[in-house]
Amino acid sequence: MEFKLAWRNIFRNKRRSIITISSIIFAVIFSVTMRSLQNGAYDNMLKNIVGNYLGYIQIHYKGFWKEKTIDNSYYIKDLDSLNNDPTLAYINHRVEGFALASHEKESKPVVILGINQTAKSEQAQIKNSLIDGSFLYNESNGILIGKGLQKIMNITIGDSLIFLSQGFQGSIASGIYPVVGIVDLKTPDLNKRSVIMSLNNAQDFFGIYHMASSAIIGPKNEKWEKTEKSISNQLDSSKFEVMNWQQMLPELKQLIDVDRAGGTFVLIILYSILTFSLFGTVLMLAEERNFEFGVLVAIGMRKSIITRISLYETLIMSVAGVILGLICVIPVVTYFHFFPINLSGQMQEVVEQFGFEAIIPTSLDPWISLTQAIIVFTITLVVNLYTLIKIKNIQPTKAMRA
Amino acid sequence: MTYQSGDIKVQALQNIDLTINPGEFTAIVGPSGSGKTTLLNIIGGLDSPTKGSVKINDTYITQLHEDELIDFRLHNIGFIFQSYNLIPVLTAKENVEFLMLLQNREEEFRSERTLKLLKAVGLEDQIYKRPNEMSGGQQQRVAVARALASKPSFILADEPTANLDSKSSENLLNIMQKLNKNEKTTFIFSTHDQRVINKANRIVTIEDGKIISDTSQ
Repeated sequence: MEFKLAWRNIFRNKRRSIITISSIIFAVIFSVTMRSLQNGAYDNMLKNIVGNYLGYIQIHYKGFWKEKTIDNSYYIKDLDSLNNDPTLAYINHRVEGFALASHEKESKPVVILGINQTAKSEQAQIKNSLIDGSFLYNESNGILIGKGLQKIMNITIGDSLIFLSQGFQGSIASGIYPVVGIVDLKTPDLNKRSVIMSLNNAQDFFGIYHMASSAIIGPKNEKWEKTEKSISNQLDSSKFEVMNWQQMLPELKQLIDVDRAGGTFVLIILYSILTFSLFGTVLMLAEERNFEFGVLVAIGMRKSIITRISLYETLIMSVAGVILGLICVIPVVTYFHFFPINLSGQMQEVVEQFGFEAIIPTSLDPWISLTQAIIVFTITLVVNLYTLIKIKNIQPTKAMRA
Repeated sequence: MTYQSGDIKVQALQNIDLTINPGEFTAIVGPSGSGKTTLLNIIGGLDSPTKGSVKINDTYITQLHEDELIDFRLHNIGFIFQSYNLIPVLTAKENVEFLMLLQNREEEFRSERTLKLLKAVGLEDQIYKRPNEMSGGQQQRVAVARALASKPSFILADEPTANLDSKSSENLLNIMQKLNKNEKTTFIFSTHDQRVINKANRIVTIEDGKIISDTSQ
């Protein structure tokens, strides 16, 4: 009977119920879309810069990050003990150094990245980025270059680049390498300055045999913090530095934090609007029903039962609003995940200047929908507290006189 | 019994000493503002007296806590209001059945009694209608059936015919009188209506919060 009463009460004033449910639907759609776009943009940034290039955790010889010279390299065997760490999925050693690249009349400073081309994780990342030519084969001295660099220096597959740099302990490093492939590293800045070669070739070029400048750590799961802690505990901190992506890219972390705070502020405004709009409805409803509540108490209905009926009403409307909101928003979010919003014009330029890809995909993280749905649902319940207080304080004769 | 009207404390009832016996059909009469409704509210436990007590059967209802008092009303007192006050979203049948549900009565008992009562008030063909689909007289008859549904010790009716036309009033009074005679249901009602007063077998007259006469006819 309680549920039946609640259900019928919803249809008693259809227009008001529709307005209430609509405001919940709107709040869910707006908050989920906004958060999905934000998180999707962050995920994309992280995937492009951190996932594809930098790694979530890196180990360097102490001081390398501040002074990126080839002299600050470490012996690979010094990190062999980490292979037994259960929190680690892989370790990829890399050589990273600067050089001057020349092709015909063009010269340009570039970053040479020596990777272990046989490692599956490196292969997966670089092969995914390959847009022309072929990947690095064993024993080959071929190189891959970013598509931006290819354009600037007007290079075609099969052309060679000459590199000149400072090698280990002041030696001169030089070499000529054929371009075997073009990669799109999804970040304009990286595309304009990246040269990728095999680890062996990079070690040869810089004269750092059996050494590397950075170790990219692949955590076993998304909780890279645990892996970072485990590695830090095992390594001699006077010899090695363990850095996470937030330390390596503080600007990116700050950008995400500031943007997230801005988003949270907008959401708070949205939640406030929703709260006041719902409160208006609840206030009207409680005042209108005051007389009826008085009658019910008078004829013998306990206030706790009236409270339950009122709660059921709110629950039905908020659950309906939240579910309908999610039904509306999930296809939209899914669509923009697979077909991201492409930024154009000035916006595209600004984003690319920061080194990011000018697209905004949405995030499909179910936690976003769940969190926003729970928040909106909670607001609805909290707002309904007014009715509960009103019922608790009801005096039948006063209510029936009003 | 006093109440606050603005800054002034008004004594609504004073020195009331009234005993209602089972099976009586009692009218509380008096001019507007004389204290009729206040007296009914106090008897029904809807208001508490500032002084004195109300004893129903063997229970001093003035000493009961809120929930105990609500439960007491549910099991012992039936209410008929001037403006019917049916639950708008329930049908006539559901409105009558409602109090029995609160009393946790068996479904079979509820259905049987609901139909019996609706038949007694002449509404057996209106059971699936909601209040807004019925006339005032019909709604008040549903209210009478609802008041009787919980098998109360007595029924309090505050100006039950005030919103009804003469035909509906007559009809309602006949039903109430029949129930009083056949089922020995005690009725206490406040009224201005001379036709209602004429039907009562006891008339209690109140003026300025005091009983000025108490006669049987």
